[in-house]
Amino acid sequence: MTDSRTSWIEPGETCWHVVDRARHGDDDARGELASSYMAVVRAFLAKRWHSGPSSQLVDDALQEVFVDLYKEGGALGRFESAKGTSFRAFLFGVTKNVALRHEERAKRERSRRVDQGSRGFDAWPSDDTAVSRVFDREWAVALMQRARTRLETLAAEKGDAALLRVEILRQRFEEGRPIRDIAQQLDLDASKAHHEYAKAREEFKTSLRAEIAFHVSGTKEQLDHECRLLLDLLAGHQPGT
Amino acid sequence: MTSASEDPRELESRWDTGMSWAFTARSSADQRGELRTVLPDRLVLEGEVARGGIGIVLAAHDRVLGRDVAVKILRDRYASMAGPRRRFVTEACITSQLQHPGVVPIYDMGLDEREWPWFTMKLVKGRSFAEVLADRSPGSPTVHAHLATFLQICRTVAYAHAHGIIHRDLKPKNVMVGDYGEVLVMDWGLAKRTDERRSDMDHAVESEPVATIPDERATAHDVTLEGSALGTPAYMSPEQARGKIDLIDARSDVFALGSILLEILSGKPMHGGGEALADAKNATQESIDVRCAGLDADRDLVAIARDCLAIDPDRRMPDAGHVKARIEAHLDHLAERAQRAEIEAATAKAGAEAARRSRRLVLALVTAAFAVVTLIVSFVLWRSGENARMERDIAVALQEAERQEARGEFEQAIETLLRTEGLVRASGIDTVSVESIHSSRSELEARVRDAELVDLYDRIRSDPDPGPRRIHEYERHFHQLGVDLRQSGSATIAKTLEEAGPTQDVVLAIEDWAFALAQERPDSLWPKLLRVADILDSEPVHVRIRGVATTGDRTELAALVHELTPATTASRTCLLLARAIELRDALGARDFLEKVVVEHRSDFWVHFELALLYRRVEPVQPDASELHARLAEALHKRPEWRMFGARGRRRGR
Repeated sequence: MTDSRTSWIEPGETCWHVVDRARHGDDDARGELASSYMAVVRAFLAKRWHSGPSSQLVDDALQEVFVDLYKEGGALGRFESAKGTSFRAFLFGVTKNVALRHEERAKRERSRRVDQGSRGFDAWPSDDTAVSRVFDREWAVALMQRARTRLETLAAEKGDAALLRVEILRQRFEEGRPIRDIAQQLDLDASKAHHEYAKAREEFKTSLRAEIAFHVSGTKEQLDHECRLLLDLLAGHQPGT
Repeated sequence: MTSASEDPRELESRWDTGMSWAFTARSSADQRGELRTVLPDRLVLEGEVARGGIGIVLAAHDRVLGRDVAVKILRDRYASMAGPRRRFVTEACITSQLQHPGVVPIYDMGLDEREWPWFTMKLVKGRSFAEVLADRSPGSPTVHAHLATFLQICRTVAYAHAHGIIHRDLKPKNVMVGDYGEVLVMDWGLAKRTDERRSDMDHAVESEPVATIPDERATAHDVTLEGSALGTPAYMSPEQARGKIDLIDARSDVFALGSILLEILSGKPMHGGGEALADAKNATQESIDVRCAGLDADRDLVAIARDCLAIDPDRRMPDAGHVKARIEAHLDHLAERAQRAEIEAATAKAGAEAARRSRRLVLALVTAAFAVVTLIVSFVLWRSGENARMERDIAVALQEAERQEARGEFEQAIETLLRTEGLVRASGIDTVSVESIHSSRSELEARVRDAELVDLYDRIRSDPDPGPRRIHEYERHFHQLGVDLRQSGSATIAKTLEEAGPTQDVVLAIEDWAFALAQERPDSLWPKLLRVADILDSEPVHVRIRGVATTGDRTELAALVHELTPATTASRTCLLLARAIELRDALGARDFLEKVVVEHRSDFWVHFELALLYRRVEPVQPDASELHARLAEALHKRPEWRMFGARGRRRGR
């Protein structure tokens, strides 16, 4: 989720449009998907095989997930039937299939070389529910960061005042500074800083809702529900924990 | 997934957590946004080089001037904020006012379409001094090499102090050590003027509640602090740590220099770890004395560190110029000691060599004399009485030749042997004996020729005019030896020169001729001369250096500079490499030789070349040139040799 490139997303597009473009070989769209969701898939695979294969094998499987998405007749080929559902569920399904395939392949390999005492890929999978939860949590983090990116992009278009509000949020949450310090730092009156902070929070919420709408089609209530689920997933987990 | 609580306060708390996640990991959007700065079309951006508190440095190619540059831009988030903008502009202004080889030159400055400031400067390829100090790999720079770098830092800061500017954030991370050994003090973003030339901009910068933004890549102890405490805790003076801005002056930089010196000597700066700021605030003279007393280092250097690190600014050295002078004196003292030891060793070696040569000649002469005497005895037996006088004359002449040879009076010895030959011939002695004497004489003549040739090369090469005069002398000499640079191939020329004189001296002359030609007439046949040198001297590293000089391959050149550390490389090889660097980057060659001279202080040619470069390359440094010229004069084998004519008024200094 570290290289999200929303500039390649056309206005009004949902993630399914990006998926469609990726399916038809659009490199930008493929890059967008890979950079946005790679961290989510990696976290899932690493957690699932946490006592098993090396990071190289995780990387191989990660590659395979995206190859599977793009290849002719691959997962994106089945996208029509998936369209309209949650992209999170779709990606989770693809990732899990690839993981199972790897595990099956490793099992066969192991039974062939059992007499050689080979270890490698036999200590997985971890508890499936816990692993699914890791995927969901990484997904929530990914969407939060996409929301930040969206907010910054919009602020850059709106101008200095909007950029200032993003900066207030950044100092508040990235640096953990109290609002009065931020006000002093940015040469703002304290009440003005509080006002701008409240406004920035609302803008972030709007941005997150837009991100959710990008990934999930549904009514306003359904989007609000999804939003609360994302917040629930992160509740009790501070960054760095 | 569980459903969320509907309690508004609880919900907002969840939003807080969500936003923490959103803003914790720096997303690439941050970076992307920063790159939205629209720079002039002439600059083609090539990627990020470094990221500091408020700015980002990008590598770029200037299409108009055809050179690589570094572009510094404000980070997106600060571009619209008055404080960081002012500091960014101040950094550019102060840096551009400091015209010194230790300060990166600013090329251009401007505002983009959004009126965001940017400036371009020289692109320095290398490592930060912090990385150099952290490098513990085999072959990494020694403490001595670090001291040479430190001296460069002191010189630069001394220059700034002399111009009424203090840096306020000196630390190894803010010093770049270039691939060619150049040392540059960077990041003048916190600098301020202390003299009456303060501009409105400076006042504006100081009057704001100054805060710098931490470098995201920095570790805890070298983060530049926010708030009223300017600088970096690990290197911070007590007055800085306590936020006493009015007390901060050149002596605060001196403290930081002391902390850097401490890190060079002990591997750790004055204050370290997570409590660096508290340590800096609460430091006592006693704690500093204890730290210094525990150093396992040269006492002179420890004393310098302690004099920089005094808690009371009044007891510190007043500015970097004083630190520089102390370090120079220390290094000069070391050089003097090394030089004395080297001269003693060289004298002993020369004595042994002379004795060995003398023994060899005596043996040859005695052999010849024995043959002659044997013949004389026969002759005497054959022609008794009348020949006795001739026998004595020949014996006396041979003894005289032996003495002359021992005294190094080769020409006289040759004359004597020639006369003796005549005597033997006149007396009708057997021709074999005449040939023995003739052979001794030929050997002596060859040695004289070689000595004359070496002397000629030394005279040409030590001519301080490296240009047309030197080239003309070489052309005339090698033409006389039958070298036709235009018509003959390199193999033919090499064959011609094989017997011309001592091979190594011929190679040095050929190389000198080639580099002089390359400087004066780049389109000439100088690469052919380097190929000739390759044939005559196939030492792999020399062949590599000559190859790089010919191709101009910067990557290979940088690799050679990295591999050939002066401490472990012969001065002859270092000098060859310096000449190769000089073809592409004269200032780089000077920087490199500054490192070489630290390790080869008794090498005449190192001082000679360095004196020339200080004189020739901008910015010219007459004092440094004179210093090295004087050292070269002291080391030259002809006491009357003067590098730049008669010594001037500074002779007595």
